[in-house]
Amino acid sequence: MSELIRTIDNSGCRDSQYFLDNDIDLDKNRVLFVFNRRLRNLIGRRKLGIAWLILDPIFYSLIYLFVLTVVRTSPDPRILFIGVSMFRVLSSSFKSGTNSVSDFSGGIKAERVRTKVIRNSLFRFRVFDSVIQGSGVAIILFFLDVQIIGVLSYAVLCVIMAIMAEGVGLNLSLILRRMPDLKDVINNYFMLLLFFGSPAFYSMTITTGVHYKVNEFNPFAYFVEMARHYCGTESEMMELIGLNSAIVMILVLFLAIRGYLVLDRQRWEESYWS
Amino acid sequence: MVMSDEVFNIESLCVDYKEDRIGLFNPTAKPNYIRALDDISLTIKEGQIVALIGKNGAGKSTLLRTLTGLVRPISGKITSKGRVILLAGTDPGFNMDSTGRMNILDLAKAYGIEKEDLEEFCESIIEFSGLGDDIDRNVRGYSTGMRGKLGFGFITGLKPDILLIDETLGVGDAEFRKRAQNRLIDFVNISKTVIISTHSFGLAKQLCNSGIVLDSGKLLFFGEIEESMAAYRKILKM
Repeated sequence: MSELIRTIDNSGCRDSQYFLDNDIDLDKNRVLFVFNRRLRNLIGRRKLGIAWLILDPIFYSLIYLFVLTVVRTSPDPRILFIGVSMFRVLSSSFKSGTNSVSDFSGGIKAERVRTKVIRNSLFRFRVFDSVIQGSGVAIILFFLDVQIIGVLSYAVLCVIMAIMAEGVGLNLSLILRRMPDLKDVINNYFMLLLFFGSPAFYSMTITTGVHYKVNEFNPFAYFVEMARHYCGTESEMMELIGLNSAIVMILVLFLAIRGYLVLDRQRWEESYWS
Repeated sequence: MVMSDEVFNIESLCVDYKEDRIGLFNPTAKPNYIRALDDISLTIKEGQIVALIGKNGAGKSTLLRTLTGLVRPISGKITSKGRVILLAGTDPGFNMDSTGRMNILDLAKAYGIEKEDLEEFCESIIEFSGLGDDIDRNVRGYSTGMRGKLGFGFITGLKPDILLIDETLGVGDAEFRKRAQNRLIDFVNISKTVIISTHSFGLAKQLCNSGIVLDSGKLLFFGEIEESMAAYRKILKM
């Protein structure tokens, strides 16, 4: 008999200690298991597997490049590739955060899994997913004469933005589970509005008036304009730096950290909803 | 606090399920709270094999899930000693697009089987489940019975300190059910603790030495198996 003492009450489920001698390894194995499960769920039964994750943002960018070329706006492909692909990363990360409440077991159904395993696997998967999603476009940027420092900055910004977007999404997961209509509103309509309103397929330099003002409070604008700045394309980054940017980024950082920290409380709260 | 031979100490446990009622015409409605377990207090000792009996909706599954740490109690406290595993349904976490063998290997690592024991563990599950060559087919193509055999074999193969079973002994054919019962008897013989939620008097009498009778979330009786069954019969007649 292991010496694990577990206490369960209204405030939480707490283990006095690990239940096996090799529990650190067990948690590592579980993180890997949950990670692989998330990857399998994402890929589904697609024959191209992980290649879809790389191709998806490229295809989207190419479609917008084609459409904008047809309407003769002659976009800079680098601006478009950076913006559209980063928005795809933002969107999938945010949705992952808001959906996290749907599977707190991580697929290990016969035993309670520690929340730190779930948190760790979420975090690792987000890093992996954003690197993979960004890698295809990063290669294209390299061939579009972007300096290596620009390509690397783009990749790093993708990862940071993905982690923060997921963290912010985690804050909303319980509310959205309670109100699926709100989930549709946020994940579909709000994200669509955000896509067209944000400087995704155009640079913020071409925005004016209210549109510009609103984007000063849009965290995505900071990430995408910063990536464009380092990639040497048209960018509003230097003009955006100021008190607004500091407030917005601190707020987003706070929400992201909070999202990952409240995971255990949310999991416990969700467990008794019918 | 758990005494040396106690594996579960349950004190005044109450569990409510929260049901949301907010709607278009009722935007400020407060949630409904449905009491699933009401003031349950009992102690289960090491080596006890307990039948959890009661009508549908009595709170059997909720009690097992709460003991596993999967459901939040509204009040009260559970203290458990040892590793708790819950076998509910037939799925410990299968990936439908992997073979039975690959599932055993992947899940075994996630459930704490050492690398050097993996092969032996895997073979023992294959032998117990009786799946033969089907073990190298994708689980998606398995029947419910086949998944049940694999799931039951896997979970009991883990040899946890405390095994909670939620009405899954009915899976498979008669021959498999016999083997499953023998496996449970072996399990009990190595002084582990088992709680089985069941509607079967035969199974309860054959396997268990004590019984918990639940009725509408309340603890009606906890004691010797014969007396538990008598208490349950009384409810059925009511």
